[in-house]
Amino acid sequence: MRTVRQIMPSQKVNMGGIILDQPLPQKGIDQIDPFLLVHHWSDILPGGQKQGEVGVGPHPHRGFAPVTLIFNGNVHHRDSMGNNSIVKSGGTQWMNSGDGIIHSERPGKEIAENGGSFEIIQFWVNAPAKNKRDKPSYQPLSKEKTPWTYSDDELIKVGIVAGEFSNTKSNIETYTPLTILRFEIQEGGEMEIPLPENYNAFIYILDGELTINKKNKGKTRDLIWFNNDGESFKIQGNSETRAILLSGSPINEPLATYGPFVMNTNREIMEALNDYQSGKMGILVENFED
Amino acid sequence: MNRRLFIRVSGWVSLMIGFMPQQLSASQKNHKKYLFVDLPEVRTHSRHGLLRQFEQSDFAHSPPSWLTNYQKDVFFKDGFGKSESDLIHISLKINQEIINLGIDQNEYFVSQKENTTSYSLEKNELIPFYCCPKYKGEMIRIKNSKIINTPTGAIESLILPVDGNFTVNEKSIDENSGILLQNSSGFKIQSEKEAIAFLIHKF
Repeated sequence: MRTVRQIMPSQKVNMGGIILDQPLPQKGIDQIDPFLLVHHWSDILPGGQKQGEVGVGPHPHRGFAPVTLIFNGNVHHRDSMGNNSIVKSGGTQWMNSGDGIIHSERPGKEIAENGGSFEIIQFWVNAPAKNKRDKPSYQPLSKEKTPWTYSDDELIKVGIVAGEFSNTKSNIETYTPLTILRFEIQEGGEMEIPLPENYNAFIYILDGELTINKKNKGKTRDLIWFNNDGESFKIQGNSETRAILLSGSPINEPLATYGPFVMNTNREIMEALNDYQSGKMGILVENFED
Repeated sequence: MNRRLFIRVSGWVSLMIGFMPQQLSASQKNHKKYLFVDLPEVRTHSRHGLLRQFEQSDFAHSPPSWLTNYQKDVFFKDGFGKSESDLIHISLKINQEIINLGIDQNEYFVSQKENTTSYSLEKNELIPFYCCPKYKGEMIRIKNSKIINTPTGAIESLILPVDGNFTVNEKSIDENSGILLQNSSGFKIQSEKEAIAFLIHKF
């Protein structure tokens, strides 16, 4: 059974005026390879705003996959490749930024205008060096098209965002082997989660409380980081709980991550900055009428 | 007046008339000037960061006229706050040609069009700008005090702050200001703590 390495509470960070919970990175923990960042944004939007005034406007990425899980509300994604899609609660936006892309991610127009609950998690998955200059791609996955399964006691609902779980496979294409799950856990629900021993793995709790292996407890906004010393671990819901599991095969390559780019060397970061400034990652002009 | 005397005197007078305006214009040419240059606010970035495209930057019109845009971003290595491993990035335009500078702990990079070249911070060298042959760059690390000799032929030297505060000929430079020296053969640069400056020389 995989033991718990560390349980860490999230920290608040300010991203351009948006206050987020950031369980990763933390002081002294730059990554849990291949995962570089987890941001949890949960808010009640007041309404009375234009879509262009909310969310995150056009910005670039290169060298990794920024992935957004939508829990409440919806996210309108636009990018320099011409993708324009809204994904609602329960769905996922998976973007492989590859050689470079400019995108914006905003709450849907209706939420901006009328207000309401808005909650997303964005996490970053690193790409191996051989894929960092691939052509970018965008994969929206609705709640309806996400494979779901249940624990034996039917108290835990599991969405398979990426990889394979319980003989069910997601269609999302990833750079490296991953298992990404989202959990809706009722009090008392129990489940054993098998994972390859080499996968680095952690659970992030959006809200609620879990007991791990009948021993360790994690609560709201905690990140539970597992050791690579077993092939499974057990979770038990102590209350109604929402959580995600991020796990995957480590890439084990040098890391240079600055701002919106993730490469292997500082020189490559400079090249990304130069290419962005020179317009090589494309242009995104947001049309708020569509 | 004797004709020979007249010729001699008028010759001297002509020489003096010819000489004097040159002396005046030469003294004007050699007149040293300095001008403070207002620079836009520096933006800091945690992991993620909202990196605005260069063209969108605000740049208050400021001398020299050939510096047509400027943007400085500091990317925190650990995503939380300043550290020695941060990457400092400066985008600037010399007469509409983009040049990108990146500075980390030990080296710096200069990106021009398709090309990115790295240089050591320990070594002072004049960097050519392929886009703008009349301009050269120079990155200097300041420890205490040093005299910088302006390269021969340089008519203007723009001193931009990269990291830390310093003085140029006793005038304070912080992250929101640079200084433009004109017709200067050299200057004294000084800092209490280690600092880095980038110089652009116009020839």
